[in-house]
Amino acid sequence: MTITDLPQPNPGRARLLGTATLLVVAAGSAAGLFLVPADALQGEVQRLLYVHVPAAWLAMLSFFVVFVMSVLYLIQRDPKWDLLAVSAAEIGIVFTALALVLGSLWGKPTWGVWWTWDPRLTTTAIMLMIYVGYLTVRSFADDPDKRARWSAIIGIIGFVDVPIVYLSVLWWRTLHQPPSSPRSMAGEFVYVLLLNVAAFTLLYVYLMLRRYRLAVAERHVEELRLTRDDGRIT
Amino acid sequence: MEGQPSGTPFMVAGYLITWAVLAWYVWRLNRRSADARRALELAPATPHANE
Amino acid sequence: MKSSLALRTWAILWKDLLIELRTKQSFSAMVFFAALVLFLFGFAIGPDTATLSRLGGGLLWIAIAFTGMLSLGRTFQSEEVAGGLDGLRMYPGEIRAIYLGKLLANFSMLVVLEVVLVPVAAVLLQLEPWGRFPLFVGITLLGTFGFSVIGTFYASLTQHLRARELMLPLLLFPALVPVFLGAVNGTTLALAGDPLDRIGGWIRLLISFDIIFFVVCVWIYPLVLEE
Repeated sequence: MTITDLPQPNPGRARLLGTATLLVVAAGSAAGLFLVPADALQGEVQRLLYVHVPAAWLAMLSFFVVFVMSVLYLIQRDPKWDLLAVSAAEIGIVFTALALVLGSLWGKPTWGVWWTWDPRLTTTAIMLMIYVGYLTVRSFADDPDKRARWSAIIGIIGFVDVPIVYLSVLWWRTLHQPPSSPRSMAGEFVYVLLLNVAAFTLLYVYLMLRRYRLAVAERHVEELRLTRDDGRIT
Repeated sequence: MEGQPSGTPFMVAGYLITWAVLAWYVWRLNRRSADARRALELAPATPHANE
Repeated sequence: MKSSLALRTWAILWKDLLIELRTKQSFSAMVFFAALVLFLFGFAIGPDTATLSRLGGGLLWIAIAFTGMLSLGRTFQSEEVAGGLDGLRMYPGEIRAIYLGKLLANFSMLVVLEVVLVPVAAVLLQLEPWGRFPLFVGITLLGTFGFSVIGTFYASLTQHLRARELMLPLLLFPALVPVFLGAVNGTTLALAGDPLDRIGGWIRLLISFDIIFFVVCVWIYPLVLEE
């Protein structure tokens, strides 16, 4: 499978998707900020959950996507899986970091502290570090095939590890205090949350499309540089 | 919680950060895409001998 | 073919242990480094023996983890220097024997380190493992095995990466969180007493982790060394 054969997303369709995404995300934020009243108990800060929960959901979805792409790459050795994997990893890091920051911002007025070692928050932080490890390995590996293979292995091991990490932190926290995390919502709040989850998922698809296209282009550039440097024809 | 500082500034900060980060990421994608496009245009004709 | 896998594993394990035995300097360096880490903790936390004793399980395992990290980096060093890995790879037979042999070598060396380190920690941090000693030993072995399973695997994977010394800890520590929590909490409970009988949960966690990752790493290992 040569680099030139990689499937390319249609640019026109991407622009359409981008506009639609922008509108839906804006609608979601507007609904979360203005459409629903503030929560009776938590007050205004509860509105943060309309962005925190979708971000956390996308962080985990992306992690799963990295895993699936990694498995597919190791089986088929088709470069497109590797490029999809790195796209999912990079987007995943953005949403993971965002989820952590938003979680902290939610926690400070609610619990009085920036960080509580809550099992979900802590596991998300560890997940962030696994993502960072994945991308760092890629930046230190020059051979594209080895880079793809090694990061695929890390993507798989990392994914297997995260549930165990969660269970271990959960058990650890259960010993000291019962876990306290955002509880489920009532009534119209759920609809706004679902709207935002849908909006962010659409955003995720758009970002994956864009990032994958970029990955293909950069792979072409790299291939040119490699063939030029050592005269090796691929 | 009574006695706790108001959550509103945190909420506002959270939304602003979210939009800022997402906008920044899209901007970065655009930048890198433009760079890659330029690099591909500047490159000499590639000797793809295996086609 | 099972017996040839075992034979090759044993051969690699034996070779590595012999190398370690002949050059005892690296092992004693490991011991002194670990002790040094414990001293640093003493300086950082202060000479309050009650506090140090209470934190003792955690401090001991940080010392083991850091020392283990350094020694892991050298797992494949003897092969790299002499080009021996290519020779091992070309040998008809299981590539997995390389991983198994290295795993057992790392595990053995860490266990020997712990045999020396635990008395030192007991003295410096006022620990008393003698009360529930079998439990303490069991937890230590399970934790060390988990560390060795993932550690050897990632040591092999990062062998040819730039900035290897940085990549190994960066990859290893997040993956090791369950082992670390299990070992630290299990050790603390074994040392300080366990009125609510929590230790069973930690032991189950360590065993699950060890089994799952042993299977996954052994299975995937040939992909790491692929040319």
